[in-house]
Amino acid sequence: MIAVQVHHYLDRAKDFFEGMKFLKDDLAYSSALLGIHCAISYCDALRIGLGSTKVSSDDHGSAADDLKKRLSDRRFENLRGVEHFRSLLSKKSRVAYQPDAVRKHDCELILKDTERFVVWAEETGKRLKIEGWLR
Amino acid sequence: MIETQVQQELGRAKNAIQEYLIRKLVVPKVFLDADWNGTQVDVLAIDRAGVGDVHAVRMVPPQGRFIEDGAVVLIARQVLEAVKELKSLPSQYRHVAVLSGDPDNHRFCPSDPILQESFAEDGVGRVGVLYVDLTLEPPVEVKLKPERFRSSKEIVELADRYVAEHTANWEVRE
Repeated sequence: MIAVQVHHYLDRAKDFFEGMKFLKDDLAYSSALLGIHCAISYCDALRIGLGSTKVSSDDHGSAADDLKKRLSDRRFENLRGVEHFRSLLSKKSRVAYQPDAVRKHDCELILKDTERFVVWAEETGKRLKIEGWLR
Repeated sequence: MIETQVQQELGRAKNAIQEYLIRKLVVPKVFLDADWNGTQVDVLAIDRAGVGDVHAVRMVPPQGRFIEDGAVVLIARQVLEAVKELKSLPSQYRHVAVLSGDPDNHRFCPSDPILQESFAEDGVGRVGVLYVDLTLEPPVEVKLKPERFRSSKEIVELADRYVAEHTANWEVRE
């Protein structure tokens, strides 16, 4: 059952990632927002795989805390991805709602941070042998 | 074309295929001219930062116009041979890339023997065919959509070893 849920969130993350790439040249804000949602789905996949039973929450900050705690419980030392994740989350509202201008350059940085987070998440999922991570 | 020009065209085509795979996959690690389990692979991409499916691309070099002077027959035969060889390659996705030899000629299409030969014997998997024309944007066109071959412990172990022992030509670093 866990493997099915992990697959679900990974598929969703991949979908967002492809959308991010598809839109990046023409629709910077949409692309950036999809990147952030991709990271959220990867975080959900990792948390479910590490034993979390509830990931549907708008409080993504607590998701980062929960992920960090679960990784620490497994004595997983590379926590850089959690900080990438926090950084991405901190930009979500600004990209989506706030009136102050987010420059195109900021959106490009979000895309780069998303890619780095995805690399970290993929390697983390594999190293921790999360059920359903590899196909 | 002189030898240097041919090599340059092949190199540019490898770059174009790499770009295509980067767009298609999720942060893949891409290797050029890979020795994959003893077989030369022109472009090798391992999806999901090196932990996912393996995509292997074998290129068929330009042969001039496809239709004239019997070249269409030559290309078709070479593509067919490449498809047959790839069927035993350990990777989840396998592609043959046909390089255009003439900017005015976009007429290559996989023939019936290629279409039939492209399937795995048990039906799980199909070798894809890409067409590369460096004068077009984007330069890579899918002529035959690949289908995933069975995965195996052998493929996973090969990929793990390859990623550990080789530096990727393109990757996103954490």
